[in-house]
Amino acid sequence: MPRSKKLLLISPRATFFGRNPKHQQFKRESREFQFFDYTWTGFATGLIIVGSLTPPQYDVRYIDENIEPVDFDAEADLVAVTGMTAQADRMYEIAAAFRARGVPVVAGGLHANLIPKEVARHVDAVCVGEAEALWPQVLHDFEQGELKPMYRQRGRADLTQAPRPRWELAQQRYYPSVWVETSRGCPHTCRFCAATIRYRDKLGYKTVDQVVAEVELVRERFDNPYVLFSDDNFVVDRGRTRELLKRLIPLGIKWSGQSDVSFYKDPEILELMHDSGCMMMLIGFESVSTETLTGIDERNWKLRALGTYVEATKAIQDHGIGVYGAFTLGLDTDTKDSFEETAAFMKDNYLAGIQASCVTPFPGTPLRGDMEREGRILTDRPWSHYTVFDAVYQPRHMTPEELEEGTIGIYRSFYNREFSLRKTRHFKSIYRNLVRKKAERDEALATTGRSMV
Amino acid sequence: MTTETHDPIFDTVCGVISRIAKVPPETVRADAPVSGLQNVDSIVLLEIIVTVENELGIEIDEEELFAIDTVGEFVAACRRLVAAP
Repeated sequence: MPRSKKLLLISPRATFFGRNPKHQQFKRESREFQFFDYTWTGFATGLIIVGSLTPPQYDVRYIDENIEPVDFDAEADLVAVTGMTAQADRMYEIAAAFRARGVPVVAGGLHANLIPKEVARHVDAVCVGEAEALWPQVLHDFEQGELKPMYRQRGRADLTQAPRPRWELAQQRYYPSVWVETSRGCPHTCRFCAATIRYRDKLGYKTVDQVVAEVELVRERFDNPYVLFSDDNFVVDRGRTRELLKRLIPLGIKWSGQSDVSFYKDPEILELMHDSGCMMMLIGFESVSTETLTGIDERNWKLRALGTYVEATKAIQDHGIGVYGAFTLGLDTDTKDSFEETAAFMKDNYLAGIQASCVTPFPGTPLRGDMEREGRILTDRPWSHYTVFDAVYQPRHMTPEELEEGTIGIYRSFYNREFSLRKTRHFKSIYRNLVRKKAERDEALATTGRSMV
Repeated sequence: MTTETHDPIFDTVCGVISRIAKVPPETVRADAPVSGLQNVDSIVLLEIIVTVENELGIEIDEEELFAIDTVGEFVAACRRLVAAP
């Protein structure tokens, strides 16, 4: 019987918060922040998908270097690496070590999609596009000994035909949350966004049946998992979202996701979200400044949404769904006052959690082009500093150090005991209301057999 | 642990955690840290606290909540409030 070919899938280690000492110290010391940070930790979804596209004659091993070290002497016929830009430097080191042994290395993922020509100098083959469209060809060519340096996708992959991710590859390790994907892409075109740059033309969806089957499988394999829907924008097609949420209710999971703010206007979606176990929605507010939001996306969608932020946050949180507000600081209209204004919005509206990041000119984004033309990229900062919490360019109205200090100042003013107490009081009053309403509903159902409207 | 499983206040707390976090009741242990319970983030924790308060007819002060580390300590705090005149 021929020996199985050994495929190693490697997610390189990186810092997923600021590398600068102030961010690191805050992360070590803030219990409130650690609680939030922990929940959003998951595995590298792309590699788990690659695993599902690999035929059974391969012996596949998934290694998350953020959890366990890479054994560079491990038996391997082929290595696949992935990563965001902050993981790129380490991805190159890992590739070099395996290539030195004659093991071919294939790279995919966000960074490889953003800057494939650079990545191609460090690996044997680069995949630009979705794994479903490329990986079978890569494996075919590998088996023929004819790996090509670059694989580019033509047309979108049909997600309705995608096999379910091979979660069992990551199952042996402990992850507080399990990523599940229901769609890819986002209709918005924010100038700094790297995540959706490849999927702007068209959104891809899995069917509701597919998603439900995947969640059921995750439930079986992971023992009461906390599901994180990894969609770039969970609520785009509201009809589909409603159908999906209704189907999630009987599954009894707890979940979180990310979306733009517009779903707050739909009370049915809000109720279905709560009933289906939604705990938190990450919403990319980006800024509370009219000047900063002007032109941040091509259609000025976020600028038009700014006036709804307060009302939206209240409507969503009143349904028992925490708002995890994501803000990016350091755009050209931001000044040193922007930090205090942003922190005031977060606290006045009792956001459940926050992310305050430094705007980051990722390669391939329009913002990067502007910064390069103006000579404002800090060329001494390697990719490993592209954490979105470290300043990697010269802001217009402050120094890079002031940008880092300003964002960590927001964290300090939000994640502390005093504000956590105020926030707890606020959310307790919301939950009292919800628990009371639920009791009334249950009582009405028990006495009349009919649910209250 | 045996004595606590027959304690009605422990049973209430355990039942609420199990129901809301959607975990089997036998997995909820008195020595488990409340911030490390399966399926429980800060929002879920608040839902649990409010539901326990409703079921036991008590109100736990937020300052006291912040001093609680384990399920056992949460049960003890509830017991004190239930017994208070």
